[in-house]
Amino acid sequence: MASSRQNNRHGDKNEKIAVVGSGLMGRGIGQVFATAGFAITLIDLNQKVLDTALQQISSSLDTMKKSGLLAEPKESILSRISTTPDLPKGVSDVSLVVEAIFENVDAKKDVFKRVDQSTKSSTIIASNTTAIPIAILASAVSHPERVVGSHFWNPPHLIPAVEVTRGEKTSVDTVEKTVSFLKRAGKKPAVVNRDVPGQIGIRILYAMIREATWLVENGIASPEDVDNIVKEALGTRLEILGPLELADLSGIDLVENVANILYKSLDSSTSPQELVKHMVSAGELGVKTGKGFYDWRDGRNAQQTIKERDAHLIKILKEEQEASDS
Amino acid sequence: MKVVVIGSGTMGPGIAQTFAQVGHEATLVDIDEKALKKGMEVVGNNLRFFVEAGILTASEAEQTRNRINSSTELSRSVSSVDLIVEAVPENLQLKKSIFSRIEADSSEETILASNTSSLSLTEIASATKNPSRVIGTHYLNPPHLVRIVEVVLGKETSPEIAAKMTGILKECGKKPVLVKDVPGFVHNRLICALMREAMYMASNEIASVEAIDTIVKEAFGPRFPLTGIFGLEDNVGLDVLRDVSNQVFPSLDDSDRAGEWLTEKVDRGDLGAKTGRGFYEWPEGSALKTRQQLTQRFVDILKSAKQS
Repeated sequence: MASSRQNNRHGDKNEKIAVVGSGLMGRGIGQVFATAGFAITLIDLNQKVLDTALQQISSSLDTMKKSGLLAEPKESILSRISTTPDLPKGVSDVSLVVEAIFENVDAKKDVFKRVDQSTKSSTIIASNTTAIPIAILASAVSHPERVVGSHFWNPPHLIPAVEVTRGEKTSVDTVEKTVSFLKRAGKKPAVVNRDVPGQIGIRILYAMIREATWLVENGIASPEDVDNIVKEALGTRLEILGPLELADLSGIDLVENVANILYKSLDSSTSPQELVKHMVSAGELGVKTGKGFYDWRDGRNAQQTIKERDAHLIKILKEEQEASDS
Repeated sequence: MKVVVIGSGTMGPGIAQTFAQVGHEATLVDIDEKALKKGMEVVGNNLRFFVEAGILTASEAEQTRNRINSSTELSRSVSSVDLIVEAVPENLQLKKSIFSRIEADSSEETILASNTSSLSLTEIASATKNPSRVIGTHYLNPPHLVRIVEVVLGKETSPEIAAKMTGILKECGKKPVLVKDVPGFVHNRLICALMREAMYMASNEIASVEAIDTIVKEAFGPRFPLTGIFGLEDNVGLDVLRDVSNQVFPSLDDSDRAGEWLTEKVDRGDLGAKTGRGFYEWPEGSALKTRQQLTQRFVDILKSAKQS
């Protein structure tokens, strides 16, 4: 079940997987499959990115080992990872290619086209995109039935859930095989039956973001107070219960009542609110510029957030491992 | 300080308990003796649980219990108290008539608070002659466990009363957040926005109920307690946020009422955990287990607050 079962390697080193784009997500995805036992080729145009990828994977595996989530020595996992800047060579005899470059339609289509030309027609080409419709990527290849979405969450080695998105032409076989790869890699695949913007997670997140932004823009509450509510009242629940489980626990009759009272006043903007557009024009982009809704000029805060997040995720994985061991 | 809580239903008893816990005298008022008896039992159970969980000592629990009394006589109970919290069912006329009455029967200094979750605080306040001392204190369920309380500012609510109420709530170990009077305030609107999209996707078979819940729990569940929504936005980058909003907003559900899919379930009697079936099947005992997990989360928060 859990990806914490790192000691149960369900991958076979004779099954090869290639990851195109070895930045933050690509290297994490490579780490996931390599840890599960598959042979991985990391591909990137930039050799420096490939070098960094290996370093980062190595240090991430150290952390996993220290946390008791790795049963195999990291050297043997690393031995299953090769790197190359040569895309045709890197994908030539793999069963699955995962594209994880930056979110740019033309760049992705180009990768898909080149992967299409260098792989067998049975090779699955999966994209880690969350913003671009699978159908658009599929249009760049000769066999669109083998194109599918496989959206991992950051950090890929710590979050088990992965969205598997069906494009209009994606075959049932492709979906099933992708789900199988992911399960064998210790992931929890969540199939998205329709190629909708945002798939599952981003759609739902943005439905909340839309409402939260409206509340702040209209002075209903401050960003800090909205976050106090989310952190302590909403977030605590959402760790244990998804929205539909929550509805069941609250009582569907109650949910229906509240829906009939509140839906009509929820925000339904079809474009980003003025507040966000204004902040972007003013260069207040958040952590990366030192200021957004919060002040991040003390750089340590950003690092701390990442550390806290990963420690928290590791704790969850360990709890799951303990629960399934007992 | 003397507090009266009106309404011994789902929220009233727990609210009374939160005041008594920090040394205030609390009177639970209800027209129904049976409801009062049940309410006091609930408080008793809550306090026993707190002792077991190490949040209160046995002696603190006993002292708390002794500070709460009950009464069926509204006018007499409110005549010289500092704060009244109304927690009767969500019926505007009922609430307005109560507010008009308690204003007449209490002193000019008494703060008049409503625990309403879906009605307009401003509307309720309009039943009084001096709406500046009417304020919302929207507790979340269960009130003795969840620290967040939305302090709702009606159109006429005075800043002094808001400051006073915030201070009282902090003293009770609560985390008050100031919100203006819009339907659903903040918490319920956010939950609603979340559920609206989740139910839209499930009812249109974009993904299964399990797939939707798994993604939300795993992708955002662990993040939200650490960053909230705006902290997350700052991490993602507002330029990225704007671009993704452009792509995603237009197709998000914007229904203005509960969909057929939901109504059908209600008509069939599939109300969720309480009837054994809703979006999921709930075999005997499964809901209890989940509620206990949830309770534990809130207990952990209370305990670490106690330590700091």
